[in-house]
Parts: sequence; C-alpha cells; structure tokens
Amino acid sequence: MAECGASSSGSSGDSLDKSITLPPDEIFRNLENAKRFAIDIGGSLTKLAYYSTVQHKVAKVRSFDHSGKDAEQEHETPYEISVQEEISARLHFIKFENTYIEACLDFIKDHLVNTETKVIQATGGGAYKFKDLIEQKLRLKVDKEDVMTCLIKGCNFVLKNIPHEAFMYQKDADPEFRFQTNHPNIFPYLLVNIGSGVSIVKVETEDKFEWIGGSSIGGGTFWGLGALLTKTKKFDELLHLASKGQHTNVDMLVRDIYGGAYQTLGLSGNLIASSFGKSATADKEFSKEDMSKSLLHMISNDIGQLACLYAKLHNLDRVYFGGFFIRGHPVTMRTITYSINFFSKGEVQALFLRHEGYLGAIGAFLKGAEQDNPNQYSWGENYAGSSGLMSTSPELYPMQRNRSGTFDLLEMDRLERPLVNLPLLLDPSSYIPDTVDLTDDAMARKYWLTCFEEALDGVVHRAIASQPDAMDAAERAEKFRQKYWNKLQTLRHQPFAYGTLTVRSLLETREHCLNEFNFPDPYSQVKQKENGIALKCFQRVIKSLDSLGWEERQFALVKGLLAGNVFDWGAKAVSDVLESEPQFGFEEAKKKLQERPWLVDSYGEWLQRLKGPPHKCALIFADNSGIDIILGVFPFVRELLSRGTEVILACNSGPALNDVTYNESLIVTERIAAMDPLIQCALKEDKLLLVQTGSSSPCLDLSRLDKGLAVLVRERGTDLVVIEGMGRAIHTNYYAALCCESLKLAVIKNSWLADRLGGRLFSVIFKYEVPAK
Amino acid sequence: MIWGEGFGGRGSLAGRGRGSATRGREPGIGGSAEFHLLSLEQSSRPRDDGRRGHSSIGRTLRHSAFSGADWTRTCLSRSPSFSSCRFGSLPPAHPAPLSLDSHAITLPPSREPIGRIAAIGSLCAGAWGGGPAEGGASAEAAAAEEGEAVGTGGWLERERRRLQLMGAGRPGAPMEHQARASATAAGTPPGPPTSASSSSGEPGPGGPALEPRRREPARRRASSTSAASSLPSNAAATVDSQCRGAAGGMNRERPGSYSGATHATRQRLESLKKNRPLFPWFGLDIGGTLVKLVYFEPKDITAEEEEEEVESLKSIRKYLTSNVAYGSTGIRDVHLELKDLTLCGRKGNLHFIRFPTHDMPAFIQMGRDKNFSSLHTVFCATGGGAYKFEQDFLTIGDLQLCKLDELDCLIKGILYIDSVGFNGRSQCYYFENPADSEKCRKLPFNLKNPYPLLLVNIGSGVSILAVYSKDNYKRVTGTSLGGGTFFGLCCLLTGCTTFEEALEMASRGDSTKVDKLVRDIYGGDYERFSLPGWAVASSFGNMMSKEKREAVSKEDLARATLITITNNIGSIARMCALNENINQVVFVGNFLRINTISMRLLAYALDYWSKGQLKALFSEHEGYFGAVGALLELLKLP
Repeated sequence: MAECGASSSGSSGDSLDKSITLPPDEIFRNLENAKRFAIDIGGSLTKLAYYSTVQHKVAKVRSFDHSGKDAEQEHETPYEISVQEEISARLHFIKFENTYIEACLDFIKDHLVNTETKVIQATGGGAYKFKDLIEQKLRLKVDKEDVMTCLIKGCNFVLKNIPHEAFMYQKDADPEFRFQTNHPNIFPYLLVNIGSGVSIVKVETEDKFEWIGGSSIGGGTFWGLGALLTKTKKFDELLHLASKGQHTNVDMLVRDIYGGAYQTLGLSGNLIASSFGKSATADKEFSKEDMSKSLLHMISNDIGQLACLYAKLHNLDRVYFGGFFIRGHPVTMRTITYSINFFSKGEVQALFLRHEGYLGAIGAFLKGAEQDNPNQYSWGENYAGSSGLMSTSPELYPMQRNRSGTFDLLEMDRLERPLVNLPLLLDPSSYIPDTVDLTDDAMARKYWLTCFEEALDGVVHRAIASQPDAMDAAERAEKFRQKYWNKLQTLRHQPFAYGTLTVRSLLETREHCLNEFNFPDPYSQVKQKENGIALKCFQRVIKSLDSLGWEERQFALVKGLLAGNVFDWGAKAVSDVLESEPQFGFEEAKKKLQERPWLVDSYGEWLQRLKGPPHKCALIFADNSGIDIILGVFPFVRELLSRGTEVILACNSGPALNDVTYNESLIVTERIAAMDPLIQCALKEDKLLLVQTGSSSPCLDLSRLDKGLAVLVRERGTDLVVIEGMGRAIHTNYYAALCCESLKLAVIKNSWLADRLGGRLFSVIFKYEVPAK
Repeated sequence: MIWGEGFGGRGSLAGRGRGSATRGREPGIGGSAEFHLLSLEQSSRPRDDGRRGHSSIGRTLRHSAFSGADWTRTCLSRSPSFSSCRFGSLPPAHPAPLSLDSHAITLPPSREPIGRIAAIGSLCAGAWGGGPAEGGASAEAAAAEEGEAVGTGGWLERERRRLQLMGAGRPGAPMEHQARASATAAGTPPGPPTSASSSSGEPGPGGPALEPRRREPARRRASSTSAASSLPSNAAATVDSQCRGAAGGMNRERPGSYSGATHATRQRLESLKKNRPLFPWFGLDIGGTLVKLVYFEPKDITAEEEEEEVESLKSIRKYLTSNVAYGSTGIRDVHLELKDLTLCGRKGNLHFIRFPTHDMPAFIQMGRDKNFSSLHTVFCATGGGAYKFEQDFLTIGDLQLCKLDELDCLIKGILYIDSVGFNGRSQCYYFENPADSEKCRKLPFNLKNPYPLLLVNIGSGVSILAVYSKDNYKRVTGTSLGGGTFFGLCCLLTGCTTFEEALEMASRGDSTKVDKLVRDIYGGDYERFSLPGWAVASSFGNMMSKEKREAVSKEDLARATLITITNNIGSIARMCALNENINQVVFVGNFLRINTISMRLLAYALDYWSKGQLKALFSEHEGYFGAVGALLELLKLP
C-alpha cells in the first residue's frame, strides 16, 4: 500500500486526476518484464493483474572438479558457492480506486518494455465503460471476459494455492477471524456473490459451475435504498451509519408482537418479526443510523436465508461469500455470519476470502493465460509483496479514513514444482501444520513478535556479512530491516493480516523479505564452513559409533541427532553461542543436552521397536547444515541402511536460515559417500534417495510438499517418518497425525518455549508415535 | 370503532382527525379533517370492498342519537387503514368511561347536520359502548338500541338521553343480580362493595369448586372490576367460573350454583347443556399490525331467546352487524361475510372485522367500560397480541383470554373456511396468465387434495408452513420482509399513511426506474446463466445513482418496494417448496388484501422460476384464518 502524492480531496471523485505520481518502488513492480495483463473494473475499485518474470540472485553450490587428485586437499571448503541470477515467475495484483485508473494506465504505458503483449483481458461492470480508455492508452485490444466465469476461476485458484485463504468471521471473538486450513478437495462449494444483486453459484469442478439462483436484494439495495432513506450517498458511509444504529427502533421484533418470546416456536423476543415494521405504525422521525442498521439487517438476513435454502437444496455446507457488499467490511461479515448461523442452525458455515477482491482479476488473468497452463503450477503468496487483509479497511485503521490513494497488493510466486499432500497424513482435511496459533494465543504472539523484532539486528548483520563484495549490501539490508519491521508492526495490530499467524509464517515472511532485497542465502558461507568442519569429523564419529555395542550405539545415534540439532542459527540462544564460541563442539553440545528422562521421552519404545523387524523405508526431514546433517543425521541414516531400511532424505528446495538445501545435501552426500562405502553402496542401489521438499521454509507444511517426494514415498512404501528440529517438529507438526510410525525429535533452544512446555533450555523432545491400529 | 372513545377529552377529537388524515401534520378540527379524509377515501381504494355504500348509511341514519364527533370517526374509518389513528400518547388505561359526554360537548351545536349524518356508526357504537343498564334504565337503553325513538330530538334531547344512559350505565348490572343469587346459593356471602378492593384475601366465590390457580385471576378480576364499578366482587367472580365452564375443555366442572338463575341464565344453561359456549362467539387474532376479529351472528334466534337475550349481548350483535365501520379504524369486510353457516347447531352469519393493533388498548378499555366480562364469554385469541395483551385484558378489561397458538389456528382456519366455501363459490383461486393484464383471469381452484401444502402467511412478517395433514405441519421458516416492511418502507419513502394509499401509489408507479434489471447490466438476457433481461438484478439498484434518484416519483418507489418484497417472498417460498418437495403453495395474510399486483406477481414468479412445477394459490379470506381458527377452538371444532 502506498499513499499517492496528490490526493483528490479538492477535485470531484469522478474526474480523473492525472497529477498523481505513483511510487514505482512499491506498486507496479517488475512492470518492465510484464507479459500478460488482465483488469477487473468494478463499481469503485479497479484490480489489475499482470504476469511478470522476476530476476533475482540465488546462491548456487557446486562441487569442485575432482579430476585433479590433490586439488581436493587444497580447498578449505567442501564446495564452491556462486551467486547467480535466476528468473522466476510472479503474478502481481494491484487494487486501487477507479479514480486512479488513468494515471495508472499512463504509468503502465511508460514503463512497459515488453511489446509482445497484444491483448488485455477485462472483466467487471466497468470494463465496458473504460474499454476505449484502455485501448487508447495501452494500445492493447480489450478482450471482455464473463464476470462470473472469472470470479469462479479466481476463487478456485486462491482456494487451491493460498493457505488460510478462507476464514470464518466471529463477532466478539479475539481475533474475529478464524482461518480455515485448505481442504485437499475444494469442490463442491457454493459461492454467494453479493454485488448490486446476489448471485448464487454452485461450483462442482474446475470447469463446471452452475448459477442456481440469486436475489435482487443485495448490495445495490442497501446502497440505493439507503441513499433514499438517509440521503447518504456513499456506500462506506452508509455502513458507518449502520454500525452506529439501533435497528430495534425501526424493526418490529417478536417481542413487540408477543410482549416476549414466541415460546411455542422457540423464537426469541429479539428476533425481527417485520423489518421496518415500526416505521409503519408511528409518524415519528427515524434516525439515519437506525434506518441504515435496520436495512443492513434486513438485507444480510435475507441473503443468509436464501444462501441457506440453496445450500440445503444442493446439500452443500461450504458457502463462500464475496462481492463488494462483503469486501473488507466487518459489519457485513458479521451480519451475514449471524444470519447463516441462525437460518442453518450452525449446519452451514459462512466463509469469507482474504483475497476476495481479486477473484475477478485473477480469473480474467487465468483465462488469458490458459496457454501457459497456470493451473499446472503451484503458487505461493509472497508475504513480502502482499499487503495483507484489511490493509485498506477504514474501520481498523481509523487514521486511514481516506481510502483513496491506498493501493492494495497481492503477489504470488510461481513455484518450480507442484505441491501436494504427504500421502502419509492420517487425515489431510484436518491436518494443521502449526502447533500454536498466534492469532489465538495473545501471550505467545506477543512473545514471538518481540523475539523476531529482537533478532532482526542479527539477521541484518548476517545479511550484510554474507555479501562482503556487494557495495549496496548495507543499504539493501536496511531496506530489508524496514520492510520486515513494518510487517511485524502490522501483525501486532492485525495478527490476521496474512491468515493464521504462526511462528512459521513469521519465519517465512522474513525469508520472503530477505529475498526481496536480494539476500537469497545469507547463511551460504556459514553453511559451507560448517559443512567443511563437520565432514572432517565424520569418519571419527562413525568410528567411535561402530565401537559401541548395539544398544549403546542406538542411544548414541539418537543423542547425536539431538546434539547436531543444537547447532541452529535460527534459534537466538544458539546463534549467540556460535558467534562468540566458534569452537563450540559436537561433544560439548552433547553435554548441554538434558539427561534422560527427557521432557518428552519415548526412547524406550523406540529402542524396543528397533529390536523388531526393520522398517521398509524411512522418510527423514533434515534440518540444519553442518554438524546436524553430517554428524547427526548421516550416522543415523547409515544405521537404518545397515538394518535394511531404505531412506529418503528430504531437504529444502530453497535456502532458509542455515537449513541444509537439497543442492547442498547432494554435495554433502557425495562427499560422505566418498568416505563411506555403505553410503556409497546405498546410493548406487537406490536405497538412499535424496529429494527436495518443495519448500524454502525453516518449518514444514506436510500438506504442501513436492510432488516427486510424494510419489517416491508412495512407491517405496514408507513406514517411518523422522522429523527433526524445532521448526519442523515443534513449531509445526508436533501434533501431526500420520498413518505410519513417526519420530519427532528436537532440542528446545528457546527458553520461553521451553518454559511453556514445562521444560528448560535444551530440554529434549523425543516423540515416537505409532498410529492406533 | 367505539374503543376509540375510551380516550375521551377535548384533545382527542382533534388528535384523531389529525392522526387519520395526515399523520399528525395538521391538527385540524373535525371539518377539515373529514374533508381531507373523504377525498382521500375516494382516491385510495383499488378495490372497493368492505362496505355497503350509501344505502346502508342511509338506513342506519335512523339510529342517529349521538354526537357528531363520531361522524368524523365513522367516516375516517371507512378509509380502512393500518395506522390512521395514533393513540400511543394517550393513557392506555383511562379509568373513567366519560368519553361519550365529552364528545357530545365537544361538538358545536352548529354542526348539527353533520352530526346527524354522522351518527350512523356512533349510535351503534353507543349501543355497545353503553352496555347493559341496571334496572329500569336497561329498558331505555334497549330502546335506544332499537333506535326508533331516539336521535331525532336535537342535541339537547340527545344529551339528556345520554346522561341518562351514562348514569344508568352500570354495566353488567343484570348479572349482578344473578351473581348475587348464585353466590348466595354457593354459600359465599356477597362481599361489601367497599371492601371489594381488599377482597383478595378471601376465597373466591366459586370457592371450593375452583382450583387455587384459577382463583387467583378470579380475585384479581373481581377486585379490578369492583374498584371501577363498585360491582360486588363475587359477581364478577361467578362470571369467571361460568366463563370457564363455557370454554369447554378448559373447565367443564361448573359450580352447581345456577338454581336460582334468571331467564338469561337459563338460556346459558341451555347452551351449556348442549356443550356449546355462550354467545357471543368471537375469534380474535392479534397480529403485529392488524387485529382480526370474526364474529358469528346467530340468525336462528327464537323470539323467546331474543327476549331473554342479555342487553349487552344484544347490543353487541346489533352493533357489529349493522355497521361496516367501527370507530375510526375498525372495518367490517362485508364482502367476506359467510352467510347461513351452521356452527355448533346454530345457523348464522360469520362476520369479518379488522382494526389496527395499536388500537388494542382502546379495545380493551372499551371491554372494561362496557363490562364485557359480564357476558361470561371466553375470548379465544391467537397471534402474538394474545400474549402481549393478556395481562391488559385481565387487569383492565377483566377478561381472561384463552390463548391459542397462531399457527394451529391458521391451519384450522384455512381448512375449515375452504371446506365451507364462500357462499356457494370457491374459496381458493389462482391466476391464469398472471403476467398478461389483458388475459389474466382469476379462476376458482378446487383444493380437493390439500396435502401436502406450503402455506405462506404474509402479515407484518412472513411465516412459511409445510402442512402434511390436518394435525401434521411444521414451520419451515419465516422472513422479516413482509407486509410491515412494504408499508413501513413506503411510509418512509413516500410519506403515505395507509396501506391502501401505498398500494394505490404502487399501482401507478414504474419499478423499472428504481430497480436495476438484468438488461440494464447486460443489455439483454444474461445468456451465460439464461437469465431474462426483464428480471430484476438489483432492487433499488438504480438508486445508487444520484441522477436516477432525482428522477423517480413516489409512485415508482412504492411500486419498487412492493415488487421487491413480493419477489423476495416468492423466492423464499419457492425454495421452501423445493426443499420440502411440495408443489402447491397457498399465499394468505393481509398483505394480499386488495393487492392484486402482488398476487399476480407471486403467481407468475412461482410459475416462471419453477418452470411450471409450482402453483400459487390464494384464498378469499386471506387474512382471517387465524381468527377463524380461534373461533373454532372456542367451539371445539372440528
């Protein structure tokens, strides 16, 4: 969101103000590479969509050339890092007041470099009105797309690609937003679009939807009738009036007729028996506020009732509401929710969408981009480039009463590979990755926001240090600081801005912001160095493990896994230690660990299990680079392999903190294989498989994993999942239920969290779970 | 209606005229208000029902006895209205029934001619209002009711007579004798009049025969009555016990105390022997906006019966049946009268009367003033008002209501009325070609297979019932967008004051100027979803634009309001019919009274959107079924 320089306060709302200068840094980013445009022009807001390629730096790792035999010895590091430019695809969506449409078109014309584009997809009621202007300004042919088709396409898209897209709105709850985890199958659902009228559409598949009904009593009725009754012209002002009114002065309630409740039917006395019923019986004046409120109730109740009747007739329980009547207005979300609850007796849920305003634009874009098969890809919301829910809501930010001049943004990154559910989830539809919902838990939210604020200096420092040769590193790092700081402040006030607030989302937002300012992998050198050190220790560690008896060895392996996990730059306590005591060794880490019994300790069961038949295939989600992966995970992998268990080792696709990336894991494995015939052999025989998770987060969402991983997991008959580290096993997945055995282990490296879990710093979680038969 | 009089006093006349005519904008005195109203009446009746016209006025003119003030009210009342009168600011429980006097005094003698014409209803009103008189006075009262000798003697003469009446007017007096007798027979000493108010500590007159729970209201009743009229407490109490007996099923156990009964009592005993409640037979439905009253007028009264008929009862009968309008707001829908009906072995006519719910306090007050409670009748009442006003009926009117569920009554009523037909014609009807003004025809419908049936009752709000058999029904849903919404919004948007006016405006308006149609958005049909261009996309959608707001007339707005509400009801009804798998939908309720626009629209919309699967049916007695059901409950029918 960005304020435009000149405000239109002096000019009438209808005239187009050309004097506006748009801040190019913030909006219309990557316009020079924009390829495909779509526009959705509504009654008051325009939504522009374009597809663009983003060039950004990535840290690549590459093995040294091993042809020269002695070359290897000379290198201090196990591999080389190079920063390369990479191109990825991104979808940009911008929402702004219609007043700015001409200024925006001018801006686009001036900045558009790509000339391949010939057509712009347009939808919405205003598409016709502005057709000539668009064609003349952009010299693009306007292709009109059907409004409802676009809406449905957009809706399917956000429901599939944006986690926590849908939410319930609960009055008087804190927070009032309750986000839904994405259902693996989004169909069928009912979309109730409340524009000037109401359309009720049943969506059965990607391409199959049907208009099953509608109502003429909609947003236009509220606006039109409201304007007549109150002489108030603006929709927002009417809503504002309504939020202050008392409908009981205008409506005839059950108690006005019965003197109390209608007991026989169990109808409460407060129920409205006749909307505006009191305005018929007395010749008194009614306040604007009261009439607006009554009107709002009348319309919301009516829509809710019809929606319930249609949902019942078609046997659907998911009903999404959209349209300008709903858009960002807590007042209408509240009344619609109330109505749905009342009429369906709780059987139907009223759901709203975070990006409801963009559905038309997204759909129009997708329609134009069909040849690119956008539906083949998975997309991810870019937290850095998106404004978040309610960014322009006047109610939550009374200071920003003037909505005009506020731009709302949404950016979606096209992910390299499609993401799917882990096939081993017990119930994909109820799986929630995150352990603590920070939107819900105010105490935890406060702590973590502060924690991330305090850690920000260190991250900035690390970012600068990672690019010693870049002249502008400090400047970019400062921008990063500002951006992430602002995000944290937004989240303090609106924890619901990007869906459910979690430690994961805070971490991911930080990664997005770092990428935004070209710090693709601030830890690349650190990881490189640590991997080097750890590799040197590998053989010694293996040797000492091999000298132990079986039972001792099993325990040592687990301790090694845990000790390795102490090395985590993501955790503040540890990063302090590592910065000051670089020699802090593996053995010392082991000493830091809590003695058994651990905070959560099912080691006994695990050991018992190991005495039984070997697992068929284990899926291991690795955590950190260096000691963790090399001295902790690999010996463990080695043991599993020697038992005859196949191992799938899954690492992040992209960098996140000091987590080992898939590319790094390839090199590390190669180096280990060179030292260890067992690993070598397993690789050769396809018994050790390296895969990528599809994620670039320090946390783990088992509902969004690389499709290749999922295929392999199924093929190999995986019967054990090992999840390691705080981010993956505690912040997320602590309660994840799988349909096979699982081992979740981590060392708590955060004293507050340890406190919460009833332990202390470096307490150990060792959670071995066997699904109930 | 006479219950307007309870609020006597000089101010009330002006207030009444004002309220009716212009919703309180011009506090004019009689004349101008009348004029206004008359002209209004001329232009505001889309369907001229519910009155007999001038001949009946001429006929009843002979009864003229009372003040010209009543003229105003009578005339006003003939413009049937939902809300023409405003009584809210007046004390709801005016204790002294002095209004007749004050009206008379208020009227300037110079307005004699008007007064003479006007007295039509007022005499009859007076008949009811005057109530039974004690002793010899009752004979005079009876004479007055007969209307032969009175009313021609000019103002002073009338005034004299009135004072006489008033002085004599200790309502319920004959009953006093009876009550004393019966009370004595029952062995309870009559309480001294003065101690009546403190008699609550004594056992009720029905004493041992009555359960304690029943005694409580009886006592209160006794005390309130006696406090106002010095009637011995046990008189009223006996009345109470008789009432119960009459209610049948409520308390069949009667105190055996009628041995010393008068003629009138004998008649009652007759009635009771036949397990038939005492006259008058009323059914009351007190809705959010309108009170619906059905009254059974026995036509098979024998000479002996007539002779023995209690005066107050007789006066009620005469008053109700010889008038088409009562007070300022009461209306008898003459065209709905069901003739030669046999109910509980009695032959007679069923009358349909309505008045605004906000006049309910006045109605109760009248009940008190005229000592309704002495009639030993049971008021079977349904609708929300049966609950809301229950306490008022008891404490002010000394009447105990028998409260009945409104949906039970509605269904009972509709089934019964359909079964008796409409004076030889069909009760139920439908529209053929409802969308075509030329070809549209209203045709009788034989509801021989009534079940299952979706019943949509459109009053102030809307209730939708699925009826599977006589006793098996459920309320499917309801909506607050009903008749009250139409009229309420019309009042706000157009400044209209009556339902009739609102409908009349609507009949002249064009809703397409107000509403945004599908074709306004898509230039024609929206083919993607096969939506016709004429369909309303957004009700009042055009009113988002300032220019269009300035270009519409009040008539357009009234029309749009009517179309919006009607379409919405049709839409919800259709969805309910689909969900319940029912294909005949009967629309009833007073929203449809004289509202052909809505009926035709409902008929068309249901047919169009259901592709001919659903049939919209209507019923002649649209708003009265609840009241009929209440009456049937009284008679324990069927």
